[in-house]
Amino acid sequence: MIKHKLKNLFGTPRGAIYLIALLIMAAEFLIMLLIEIVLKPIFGPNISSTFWDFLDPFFLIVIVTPWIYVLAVRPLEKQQVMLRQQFNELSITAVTFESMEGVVVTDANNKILRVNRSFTEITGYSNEEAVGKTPGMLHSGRQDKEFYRNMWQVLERDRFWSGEVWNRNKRGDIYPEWLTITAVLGTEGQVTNYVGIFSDISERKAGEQQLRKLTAHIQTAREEEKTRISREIHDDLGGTLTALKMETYRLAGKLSGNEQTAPLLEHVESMTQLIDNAVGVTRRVISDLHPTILDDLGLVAALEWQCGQFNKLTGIACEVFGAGDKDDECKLDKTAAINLFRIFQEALTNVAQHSGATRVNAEFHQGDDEIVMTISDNGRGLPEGHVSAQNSYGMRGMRERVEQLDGQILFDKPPGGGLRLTVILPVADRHNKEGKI
Amino acid sequence: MIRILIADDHAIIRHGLKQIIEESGKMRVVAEADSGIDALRKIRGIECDVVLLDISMPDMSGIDVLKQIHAESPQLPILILSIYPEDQYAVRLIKAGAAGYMTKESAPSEVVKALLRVANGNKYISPVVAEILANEIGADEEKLPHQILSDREYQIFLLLASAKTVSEIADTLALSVKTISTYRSRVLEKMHLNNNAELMRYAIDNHLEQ
Repeated sequence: MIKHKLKNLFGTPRGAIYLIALLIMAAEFLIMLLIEIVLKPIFGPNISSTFWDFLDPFFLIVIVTPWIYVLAVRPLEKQQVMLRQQFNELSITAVTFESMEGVVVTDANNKILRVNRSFTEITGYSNEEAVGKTPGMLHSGRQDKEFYRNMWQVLERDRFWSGEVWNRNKRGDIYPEWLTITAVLGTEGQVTNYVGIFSDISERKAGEQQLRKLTAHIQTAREEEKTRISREIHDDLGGTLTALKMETYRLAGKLSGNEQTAPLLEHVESMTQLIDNAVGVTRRVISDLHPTILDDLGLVAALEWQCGQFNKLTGIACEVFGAGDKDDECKLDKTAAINLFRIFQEALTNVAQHSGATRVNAEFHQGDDEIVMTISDNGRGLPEGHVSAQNSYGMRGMRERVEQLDGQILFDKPPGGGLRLTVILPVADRHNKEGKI
Repeated sequence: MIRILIADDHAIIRHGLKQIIEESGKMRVVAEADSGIDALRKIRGIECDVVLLDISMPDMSGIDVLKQIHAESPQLPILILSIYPEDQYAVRLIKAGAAGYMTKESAPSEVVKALLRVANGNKYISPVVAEILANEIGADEEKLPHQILSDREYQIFLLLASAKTVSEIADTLALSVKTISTYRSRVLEKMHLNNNAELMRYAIDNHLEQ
C-alpha cells in the first residue's frame, strides 16, 4: 500500500526531483560522516585541506549521478521515444483523415465532431457548418425511414454498415455515395464514436449506366442482326427451295408420262429428298437464329413451342400457362418479347443443367400495369453458395436483360421446393400513349 | 372450276403453285397477292373460293392477315402454307380460323388435295396436326378444380384461402394489386367459384392449407 503510494508520489517528474533532492542531502550527510570520522583521523595530517574540500563533491557526484540518470533522464528518454512514435502515427492518421474520401466523425449521439476536407468538397459543408449537427442534414429523401432503421439495426449488431446512399449536398444536388460506417468502442465496450467514410460514386454509376446501355445496345443489335439474317434466309433460300421442289414435282409429272424417261424418275425422287433435307436445315437455322413464331404469334405461343422443343430434347415435363390464347392479347413491344423469350431459354438451360428437376412451369401474365413471367421447377433449388450461382453467367445475362427493361428479377422457392424465377416488367408509358393515339 | 387466290411474297413460288394448281384441271388461280395488305384488298375485290396464304409475309404478321380475312369473310376457306413446322403454328392458326395448315415441305400433290378438300367446306388436317390435336385433348379431364391451376395461381389461391387480402398478397409477392386481382378472378373462374368465402370453403374441404 505504502509502496504503491510512494510509487505514485515519485513516479511523476515533480516527485523525482524531490527524491533526488532528498538523495543529495542524505548522500552529503553520509559523505561528511565518512570524511570527518573515518578518513581524516586515519590520513588526516599528511594531506592538505584542499584535497578534502574536493573529495566531498567528488563522492557526491559519483553517488548521485546514477540516481539522477535512473530517476529522471531515463524516463524522459523513454517518453521522448514514445512521443516520437505517437507523432508518426498521428501524422499517418492525419494524412489518412485527409484522404480522397469524405470522413465524418460523430459522438455516440450522432452529433458531428469533425469532418475532413473531402467531406467539404463532396457535400459543400465546411467543418464549422457541420460540427454539432447530425449527418441527417445530408438526407435526400430518396431512402425511407425503413432504410435508416435497418441501417441502425445492422450497426448495433455488427458495429459496421456499408451501402449505397443517395445524399443531398449544400447546393441541393442529389448524388450517390458509397458509405461505410464503423462504430468506435470505448474501453468498456460502449460506443463512443461513429466514423463514416464515403466516396461520391456518381461517376461510377454513370459508367455502369453507360456500360448497361452499351450491353443493351449490343444485345439489341445482335437480335436485329439475327432477325435480319433469318429473314433473309427465309425469303431467299426458303423461297428458292420451295420453288425448286415444285419444279421437280412438275418434272416428275412430265417424266412419268413417257415410258422412255420413266427410269429418270428415280433421280428426281432423290432430288426431292435432298431438297427436303435442305428445307429442314434451313428451317432449323432460321428457328435457332430468331424465333419467328414470336413475331407471328406472340410470346405465349413462342414459349409453348420452346417448351415442346425442350421436352423433346430433355424429357423434362414443361408446361406454359398464359392468358395469351385470348384474341385480345395485346402485342408486347419487340424488345420486351425477345428478351423475355431469351430469359425463358436461359432459364430452361439452367433447369436442364443444374436443377435435376422433372417438371418446369412457365407462366405469363400481362396486366395493364405490369407484365409477369414466372418460371418454376421442382428441382433442388439454388445451391448453398447461391450468391455465386446468382452471379453466374446465365443469371447475370438474365439480370442484364431485365435491367435493360427497367424490370426486376426475383428468385425464390415455390411451394414444394425447387426454384422459382419471377420477372416483373413495368408496362411502359409509351405503350399506353401509343394505345391512346 | 374452283377459284383460288394465292398470297405469297415470292413470285417464283406463286408461279410454281399456279402451274401445279392449274394442271390439276379442277382449279383456276384468279388472283395473286404479294403481301398481306395486297391479299386483303384483292379478296375484297375479287370473288374466290379458297385462299392459299403464306404465313410470313413482309408487311403484316400472317396471323393478323388470317384473322382479318376470317373476320371479313367467315365462310371463305383459308389454307395456310408455311415453311415452319406444324408444332409451332398449326393448332393456333386453325383455332384462329384457318381451314388447314401445311408446310412447304409437303408434296405439291398434297397441296392440290388439301385445296380441293377445303374448297368443299372441310378442314384439312395433316397426320402431324392430328397428333398434336389429339395430345391436347383429355389432358385436364380428370383433375380436380385446384389441380388445373398454375403454380402462381395455386400460390395465390392458398394465400386467399388463408384470409389474406389482395393488397397483402401483392405486398408479399412484390406484384401489383391489379395483377393479384386479375389472378384472383382467374382462379375463381377456373375453379367455378364465386367469391373468397367459397374459395376458403373449398380449401378447407380439400385440406389445402399453407
